[in-house]
Amino acid sequence: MGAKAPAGTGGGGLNLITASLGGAALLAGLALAGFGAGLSAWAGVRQNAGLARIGRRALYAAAGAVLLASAALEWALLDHQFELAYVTEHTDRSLPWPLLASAFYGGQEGSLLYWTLVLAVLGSAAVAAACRSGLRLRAYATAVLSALAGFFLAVLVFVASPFDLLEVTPPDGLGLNPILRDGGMLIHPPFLLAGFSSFAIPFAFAMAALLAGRYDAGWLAQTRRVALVAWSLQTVGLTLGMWWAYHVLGWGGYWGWDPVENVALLPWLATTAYVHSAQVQERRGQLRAWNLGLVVGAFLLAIFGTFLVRSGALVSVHTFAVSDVGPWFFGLLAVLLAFSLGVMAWRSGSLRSPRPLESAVSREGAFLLQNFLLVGLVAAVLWGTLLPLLSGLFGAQRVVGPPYYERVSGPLFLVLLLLLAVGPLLPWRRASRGWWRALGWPSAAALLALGALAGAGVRGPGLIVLPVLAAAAVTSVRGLRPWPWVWRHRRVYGAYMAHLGVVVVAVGIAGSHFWQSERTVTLTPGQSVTVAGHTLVYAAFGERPGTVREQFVTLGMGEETLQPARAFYPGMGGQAVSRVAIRSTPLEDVYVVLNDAAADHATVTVFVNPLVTWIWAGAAILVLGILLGNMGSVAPAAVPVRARVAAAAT
Amino acid sequence: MTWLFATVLLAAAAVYVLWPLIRHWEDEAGD
Repeated sequence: MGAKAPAGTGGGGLNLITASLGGAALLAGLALAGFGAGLSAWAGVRQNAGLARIGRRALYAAAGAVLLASAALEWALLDHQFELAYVTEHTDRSLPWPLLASAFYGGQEGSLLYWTLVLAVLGSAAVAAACRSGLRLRAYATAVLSALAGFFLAVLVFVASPFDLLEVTPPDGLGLNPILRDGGMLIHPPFLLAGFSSFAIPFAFAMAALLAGRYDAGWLAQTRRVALVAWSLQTVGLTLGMWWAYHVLGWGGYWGWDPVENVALLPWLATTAYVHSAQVQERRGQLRAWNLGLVVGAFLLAIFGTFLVRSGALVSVHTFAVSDVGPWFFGLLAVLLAFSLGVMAWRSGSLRSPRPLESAVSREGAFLLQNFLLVGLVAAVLWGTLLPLLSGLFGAQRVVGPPYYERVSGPLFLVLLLLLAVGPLLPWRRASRGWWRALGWPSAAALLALGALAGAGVRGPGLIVLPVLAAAAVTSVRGLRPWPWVWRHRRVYGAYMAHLGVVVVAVGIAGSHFWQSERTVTLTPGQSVTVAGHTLVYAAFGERPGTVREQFVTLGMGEETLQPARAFYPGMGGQAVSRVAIRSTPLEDVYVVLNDAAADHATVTVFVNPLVTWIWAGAAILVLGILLGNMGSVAPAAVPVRARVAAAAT
Repeated sequence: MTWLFATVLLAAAAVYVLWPLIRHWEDEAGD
């Protein structure tokens, strides 16, 4: 760390240099992105390779400028440069350096800069890797990505600069929100924001394909790969968000159907649909317009979500990142919607599929049904999220909670899981008369699970969900059979592995949802409480003094001890944050929250959450499957699907 | 100072971005 000037004296010229350099890098980035967008679009129209090359270099240079601005902000944060309003508002001297570094994306302006950084760097990498996509497609993709980067840079320069200076330098900062002072802060936001941002890349390639009039295998392979990158980042981000909520918020769950969670789920659902329906286009040349619509829709949902979160239009647990950028994002959404609908309408004639669906009972039919279910989920979640806004416009505000989402999404998820068991067993084009014989193993697994559960006295929805999951697990595991050729068939392997990951996640969600036990109790020393067979004895109360005061109780559970605590942040108005105590095993978590404590009593809530660790393990299998399935493969050259299908048929 | 830095950065970036064009002109001048 550099030597600091005495507190309150104004910091010194070096600190002003950081702010000036950061601001200058944003300005230079804006100019370069604007130049790159215009020149690349012109290069696409003129089909001029030289201009296209200069346009690409402008995008790379803009990415370099954003990288420089990011480095300047990181330096200012780590160096406690409280001359910068952003550093003062989001850090203080007590923060350890990893949390200081993570404050980069802990506030509105910094997280926008992080968005821009991911967009510019990943966008540049995607454009650089698209050397076999054809001149026009690559040039238009560069233009769209540069224009989007230019928009974010304009917001950073004119509305939400992280380099704004304070008139008087305070001796210390206000500090990071206590909920964000956790290890989860180091991993969840970077992945989720990167996921959100990277949906722009498949969007850019989709728009470029439309502008260039090319919807062939080259476009498809390119877009599918970048969509999978965005989807994987979002999967990791969502899972880490669930894990963080579970470990930090202290309500015993991991998904609360909070508006911000919902808007992060929407583009993920749309892209899940796309990575499946893209295979129909790849194999059969069908669903071109639908696929383009999904890619465009996923990005528009990401921007819409960003608008909702950052404008403060919706109340959420994530409201620490609200400012006046709302109208800008609303404007961007309107422009993108008009632009994409306009281009799709212009190209609608050439987007028609060369052949219709031959039979509903086919792999294509299964993919299509899966897509409809996912789009249905998007609509249901979107409606629930927007209802408070829409109803507020016409009278009393109506809010729907978890019961609505669970009632609506539960049946859709169940059919999706059933498709996981049946879909991979269906042949392409049309199923022959005896295709249902392939269902023997999964059906046997489902019946066996049903018998075992009924025999064990299980009743309720779990009796339906678990047999379906057993069938899906058998289909997925049987897909992994030919072990010696894993690498050669890695794409199929990766897909089945991802399916298996989904099944494992679903088992975890079903277990913790249907069989969670909960009890809130006030104990005096020596008293005990028993929840789902686990007896906890109140052993002791203690306090840890310090700038962040902590109260904790020690509870004995057999030979183990659990220590739930509450931390009080005097600098944040005495805000108290729960420190949950969790004892995890593969079968269940004992999860204890301290609500209130004094020397003579403690009020705790004890949850026993079955199978929660399966959710984290399943998500890891899912992402590993996607990585395995797409590792090392080279994007195919631009061969038209029609020609490829014709060649395969001969 | 921000504008000064921005000008320097843009000048450096311009050399990188326009390098293919500069090389093209050099080649033409050499011919």
